[in-house]
Amino acid sequence: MKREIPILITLIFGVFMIVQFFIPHPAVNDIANRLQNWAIIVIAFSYVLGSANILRINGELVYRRGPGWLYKLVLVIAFFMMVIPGMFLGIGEGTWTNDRLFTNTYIPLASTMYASLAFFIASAAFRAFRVRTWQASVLALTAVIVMLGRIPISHMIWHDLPNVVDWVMNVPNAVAQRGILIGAALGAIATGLKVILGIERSYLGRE
Amino acid sequence: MAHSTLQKLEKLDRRWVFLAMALAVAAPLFFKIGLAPKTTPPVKEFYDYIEALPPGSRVLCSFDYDPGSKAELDPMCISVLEHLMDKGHKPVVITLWSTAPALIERNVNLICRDKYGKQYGTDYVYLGLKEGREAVMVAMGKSIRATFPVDFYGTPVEQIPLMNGVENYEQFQALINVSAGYPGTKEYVQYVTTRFAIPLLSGASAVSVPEYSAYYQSGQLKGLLTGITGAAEYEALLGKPGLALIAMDGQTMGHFVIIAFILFGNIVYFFLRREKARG
Amino acid sequence: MLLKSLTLSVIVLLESIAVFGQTDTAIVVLGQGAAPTQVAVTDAPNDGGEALNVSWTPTSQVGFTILKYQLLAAESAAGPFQLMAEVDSKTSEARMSSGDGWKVEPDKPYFIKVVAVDSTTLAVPDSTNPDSVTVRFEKRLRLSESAVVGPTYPIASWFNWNRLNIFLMVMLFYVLVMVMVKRAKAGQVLWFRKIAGIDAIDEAIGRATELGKPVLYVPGTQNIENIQTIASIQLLTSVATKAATYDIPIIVPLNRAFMVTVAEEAVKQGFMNAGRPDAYVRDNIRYMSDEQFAFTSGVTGIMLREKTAAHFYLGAFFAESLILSEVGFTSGAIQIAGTANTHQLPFFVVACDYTLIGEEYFATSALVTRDVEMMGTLKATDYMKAFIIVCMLASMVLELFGVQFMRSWFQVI
Repeated sequence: MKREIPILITLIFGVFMIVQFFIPHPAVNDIANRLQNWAIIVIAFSYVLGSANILRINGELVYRRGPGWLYKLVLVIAFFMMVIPGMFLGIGEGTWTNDRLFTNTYIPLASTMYASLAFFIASAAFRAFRVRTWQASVLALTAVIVMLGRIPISHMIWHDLPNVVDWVMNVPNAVAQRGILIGAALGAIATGLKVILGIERSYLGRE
Repeated sequence: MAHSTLQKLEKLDRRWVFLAMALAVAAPLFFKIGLAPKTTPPVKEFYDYIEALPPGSRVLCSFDYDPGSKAELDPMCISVLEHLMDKGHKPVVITLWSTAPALIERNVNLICRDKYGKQYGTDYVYLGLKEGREAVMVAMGKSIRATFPVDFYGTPVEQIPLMNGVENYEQFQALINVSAGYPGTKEYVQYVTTRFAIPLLSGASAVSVPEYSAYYQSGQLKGLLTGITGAAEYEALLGKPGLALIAMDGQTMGHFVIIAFILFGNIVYFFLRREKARG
Repeated sequence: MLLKSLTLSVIVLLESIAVFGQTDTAIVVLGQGAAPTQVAVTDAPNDGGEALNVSWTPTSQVGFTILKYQLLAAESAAGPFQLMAEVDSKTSEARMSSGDGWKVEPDKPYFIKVVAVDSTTLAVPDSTNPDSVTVRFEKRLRLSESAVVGPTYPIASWFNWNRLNIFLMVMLFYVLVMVMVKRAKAGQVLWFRKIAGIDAIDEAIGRATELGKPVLYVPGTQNIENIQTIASIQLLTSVATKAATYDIPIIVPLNRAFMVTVAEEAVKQGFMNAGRPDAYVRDNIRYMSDEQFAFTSGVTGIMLREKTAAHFYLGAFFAESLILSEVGFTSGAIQIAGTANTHQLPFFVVACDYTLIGEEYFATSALVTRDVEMMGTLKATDYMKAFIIVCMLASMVLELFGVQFMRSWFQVI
């Protein structure tokens, strides 16, 4: 019963949500909207669960002086430093939380991580684009053409270079993307159907 | 060249690559080149679509990015708001990313309130965040009022003049999405434009664009801005040079460094292979 | 004197007309000449009774330059009429739905009239000189109303016929799944091509076993409602089973709180499958952060501190993909990635040893578990794909002959 009831719930709601896509009548649509609102509430509640989880796991490690407990302590302090002023002082423009914590701390940290992508891309390109085979040569050549074509002075290098890049992006790239996209979408639909029909049950846990 | 030297060069410590990249992107901060990109059709169509909207059009703006992608997408968000303000359109701004609200609030205030002196609630409104991703997108198709009962500042939407008569997507002339990933443009295409009659314009991080260009070609996107380059083209079209145009110098240098390393790697590889062939 | 009185009376008359037609902001006058004719109101099909379609014939009289049309609606013929929509002068049909303080609801009566708006020139007294009879000419908006049409009742539909194409495709797919699952259960051998990444899973766990280092499994950065995450959880159980068999720890960093319970259960199941429930360590299922880059730095920290030897990135990934896989590469781990997020595939391809591309990723869980029902579904996907390819080829051929039937049929509304 531990598995049958969730599978039954999944089947009923899954089939209903597929069916409602084809039935615009308010009798069906209103229920679908209600279900969607439930989904929004459940997703929003994941933040509460996430916070509780952070505190449980890290607090426990700090309490029993587990490995790296000092880092965990920093995490727990940072958590409360963000949550408490946010709750009591607000998060709008001009608040301490917004200016000090969000703008001066969080934004630079997150931007740094994102910016590090440029360095990783450079090192990955240096390593990967070796013309070992003719396919690798095509790949490397295309990469160079696209990179040159995407800079402001591309038309100075060769007046047709931006057009060549447009062709590369709109024809070979788009064709490959669509092929993968159609396949992936079918795979996603199949997985969705497996979940609804109860063929795929791994997300429910142990048998 | 000695075989060992070539081998060393082939497995060059990546910190040298990092250093070269850092110098390349930092150099334009000191030596301004002032490069401006040529306008591409997706950007022109994005621009033309907003130009062609009747003045005073209500436009739904979903700015979905986080502080990480701020450097790439903030210029786009600012330019979009400026363009809407220039044309007298009325943006209703939302976000579906939990770390975005403060970021977006700053841009909305900077442009709509401070730069253009527009009236909050009448000329523009910021509804803030709603968590729930695709479910929120679909729910807005039924009722935006029920999905966003209050704005970012806690004012009930019934008290906001710009929201008078707004039921769902039908009361908006366009939907503009600035997207760093999920949920974003892909989900708006899949869950909104295929169900509800609202034209979608997208500005996305450069890495997502190869995927989204398929939607642009099929007409599901009425215009598409590609990362910082797209934002720079848009700024140039608007005649309002901003952060994106400044960033073009750094981006150009970065591209040259990557190309230089690809060439360098291949030259070393070529010599190494020749050495190996000689035995 | 007579001329002066006559002129004044004309001005007063015109003024009164103008005042009569005055609205909140613009002074307008009422007319009839440009009124649209043959106004037809019908229920908008395939909706929940939330809209009406209105069409009209513009005036055929010459001398009118229509600026726009306004559509007004009321619940009774006597009014009050409310502005529902405005359309440009070139349009002769419009859809009227809820909005601006008015709700169109099913089975309620609606009376509609269409108003043509054009401009006219009026002579008005020059108020700057009250003693003078001079007039000046001003442009005013003129409204010409059609006859009231109605009542019309919006009807809520029980089927959206615009989506028949999708419905038929869904049904076809469902039937294919059912048939193929039945065949698989009946023992029919279903052939699938070899996917290199699947063999690599054993190889990666083998490497970790040799080195005596843990396995790192990242099930993407999305929640359990994401289809890619669901597929990843199935694979997590298989990988956990193999890791438990060789007695090496498996670390699962998570980006979403809801995933903790699901991942714990999946790994426990894997350890139970291997007959080693005692070896399961709950602390290895770690919720890091919902924030993308906080999660990323947390995971790269695990790679460097705990020297994980085999990395699995299976699920929905975004900008973190390159950071994770590059750090993993430099740490010397064997790496296997799989995602349906096509924009991240190039990064995984350059930095990982094996990459499962798009549908390969979804196919892997069936091929790893060899579950007959899952294999049947996979085969149905293949047939569905073949059907789509045939449709695309047929569409191409038809387009060459100028027949656009297939293209319009596949249009989603």
